[in-house]
Amino acid sequence: MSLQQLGIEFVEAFQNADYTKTSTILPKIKIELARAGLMVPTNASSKQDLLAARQVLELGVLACIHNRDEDELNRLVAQIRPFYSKELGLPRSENENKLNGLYLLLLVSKNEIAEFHTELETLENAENDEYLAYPIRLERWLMEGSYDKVWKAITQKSQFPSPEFAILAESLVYTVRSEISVCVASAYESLPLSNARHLLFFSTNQEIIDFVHEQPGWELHDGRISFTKAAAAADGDYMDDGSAINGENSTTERLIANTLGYAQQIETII
Amino acid sequence: MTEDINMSDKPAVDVETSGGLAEGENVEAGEPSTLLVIDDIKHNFAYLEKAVSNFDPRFTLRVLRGLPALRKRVDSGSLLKVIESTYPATDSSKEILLASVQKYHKEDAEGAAGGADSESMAVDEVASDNEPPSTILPEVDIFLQLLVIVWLLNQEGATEPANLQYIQSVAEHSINKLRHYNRRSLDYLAAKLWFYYSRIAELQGSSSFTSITSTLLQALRTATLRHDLETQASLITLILRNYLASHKVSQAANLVAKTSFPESAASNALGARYLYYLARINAIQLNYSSAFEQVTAAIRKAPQTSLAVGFLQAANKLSIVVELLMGDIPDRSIFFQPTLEKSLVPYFDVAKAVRIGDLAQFSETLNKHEKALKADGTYTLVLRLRQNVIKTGIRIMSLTYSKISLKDICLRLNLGSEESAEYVVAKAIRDGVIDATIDHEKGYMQSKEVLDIYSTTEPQNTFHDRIKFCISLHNDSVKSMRYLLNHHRVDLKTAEEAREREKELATEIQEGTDGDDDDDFEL
Repeated sequence: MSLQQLGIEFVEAFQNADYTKTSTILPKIKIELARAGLMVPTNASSKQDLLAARQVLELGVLACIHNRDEDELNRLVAQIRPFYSKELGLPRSENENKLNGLYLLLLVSKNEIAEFHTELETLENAENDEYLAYPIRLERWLMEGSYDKVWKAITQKSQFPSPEFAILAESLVYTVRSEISVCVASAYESLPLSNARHLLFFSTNQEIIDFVHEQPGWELHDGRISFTKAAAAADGDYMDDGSAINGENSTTERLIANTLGYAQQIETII
Repeated sequence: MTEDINMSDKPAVDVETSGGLAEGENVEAGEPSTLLVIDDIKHNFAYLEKAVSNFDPRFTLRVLRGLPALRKRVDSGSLLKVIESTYPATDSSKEILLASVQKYHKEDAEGAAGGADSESMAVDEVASDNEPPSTILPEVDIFLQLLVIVWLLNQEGATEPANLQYIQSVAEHSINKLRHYNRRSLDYLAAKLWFYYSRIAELQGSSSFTSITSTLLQALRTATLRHDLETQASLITLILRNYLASHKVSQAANLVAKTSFPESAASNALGARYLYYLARINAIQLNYSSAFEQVTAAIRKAPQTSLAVGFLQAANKLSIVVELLMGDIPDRSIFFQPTLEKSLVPYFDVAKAVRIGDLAQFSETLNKHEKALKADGTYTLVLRLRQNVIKTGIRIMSLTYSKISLKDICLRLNLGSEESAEYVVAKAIRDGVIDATIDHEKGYMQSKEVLDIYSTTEPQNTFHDRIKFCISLHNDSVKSMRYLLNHHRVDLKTAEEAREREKELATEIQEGTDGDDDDDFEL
């Protein structure tokens, strides 16, 4: 099949939301694109070809999100990047910000904040764009700890700029919940079950009970969760009573080593 | 092939040249400074020769140090004369350089040229009889080209696009020539030449700046293969600047990871620049503590003269932002250094807002200084400070009150709801910002007793860090002391030479201007 036919078929499948079909066509298209030398865009190819290739890849990214195929998504994002470089002189794609926004959201949901900021630095005027502002807001709230705002943003349909964001945000639910659970464990000594359910955004008691059992060091009795053990376990790495003696020993040793070091250095100076 | 073309072009150029020389003579007669400048340039040639024969880059460095001063003093007349007398007739650079100087020269003094023509032709002939150089030292060649490029950049209207393009063509020619030489004694000059090449491209706007990336990378590869450390160092900083200017942070980070910066060989200024770029990359990638270390080192390493104020301003801005991001408040005195005070005003306001922990004031400051911060490229970094503002606010509250209700926290920090406040406080506790617990049912935060810092090993560690710094400073200074090669054997000789040099200097000072001793240095 020729590239053009494949392209048309692909777009059709995408518009009909037939995502299994898109995932079978996409590899074929990629092979054809590589054959036509359009996989890596250069100024040598005609603008129309480049635009067509870009459109197919853009739709491919969206289809991947619907298929929840994260590896393929990462690959496609890397492949589409060169198509957006200014040197090509292509007209700006209306999907560019949307895709960038989706990629940023993916990074946030995987908790790759350093990578997130590196990406953000390449974008201009990010905050004024509907698609880009969404992940940026999420990241900010996550960092300052306003988890209730994050929760609202990722669970209420009206908040998403496009349906693809909702799919990526699903994984964020787990990220947020685990973040909260760590915070809760260090901030409270004990907590009533109903309050905990509220804090962790569970809808039924059974869910929170299951969740508590999964957490190491959380204990449930009389309708209260106590974190004393969890706190001790967390602290134990550093200064448990038993290891305190060890710690003292090591500080003494370090002190001696340092002092001997100074003496040696002073001797060489003299 | 190129040689042939040059040969056929020659007559035409010669005519131009003689006109130019006539100019030179004229100016000479009027003011002796031209002679002096020529003298100075030739002095530099002598140093370069010495550098080559002694394998001592210090002489080259000395020449380069004098470049900025020389750049201000040279004029077209002296340049023309020097070029004419140092290049062999067949050298391809000669015409290009002459033509480029000529371009401005004509504008300088068209009118004055008229009468002296016949006379000066004679002088010109005599001069060319006197100096028929058959070869030129590559170092001298590159130095002259460098001088011409720098001089061109210094001319009025040099930043206009057409002129810049022209200068770039001259620079490209020099770079091409540079590629044919493989001499270690050229390293420092090459590094400088690349710097100006990149600078010219940058002046022409971002598109031409990004287009030279591959050229620079290629040059870096060559320099690395040749163990040309100085050029390597210069190119790495240039490429980093290039990447960061077009916001390609991940490429820049990759470059840093894949190359090793020749720390020991590079001059301090280059080292400082490299550290500054490293700090920017690290700051963007959230490695605040290493970014802070690097930017502090960059500030310390930077030359403390008035010429480096621009760099110091940029570095100080970054350092303040990074320090704030780490949760510390920069020392007040930083903001009031006389040369920096004005440019640091936006950062002072930001720091004030963070210190107080007031979100409203922080947003206000951001709006007020948005333009300045964006121009500095620190806006996105400053945006991240929002969480620090909140954390500072919480910390202040936890220090002030032993018990405070979540509602009060919410009100004071301008957080949306009590629920938000609870999460924010919980996160602050987990991040170790404060030491406290929350009582959910009664809705308050209870601070734990403040630990006496002197009962921990903290002071000891700080003490150790300081001693370590002092010791390494001492060791480094011992290592960087320089001794002459075979110093013990040639003791007498060098002493004699030094005395001679001193004498020379003394006579020079006494006589003031004469070009007498330039005979000794002529090629």
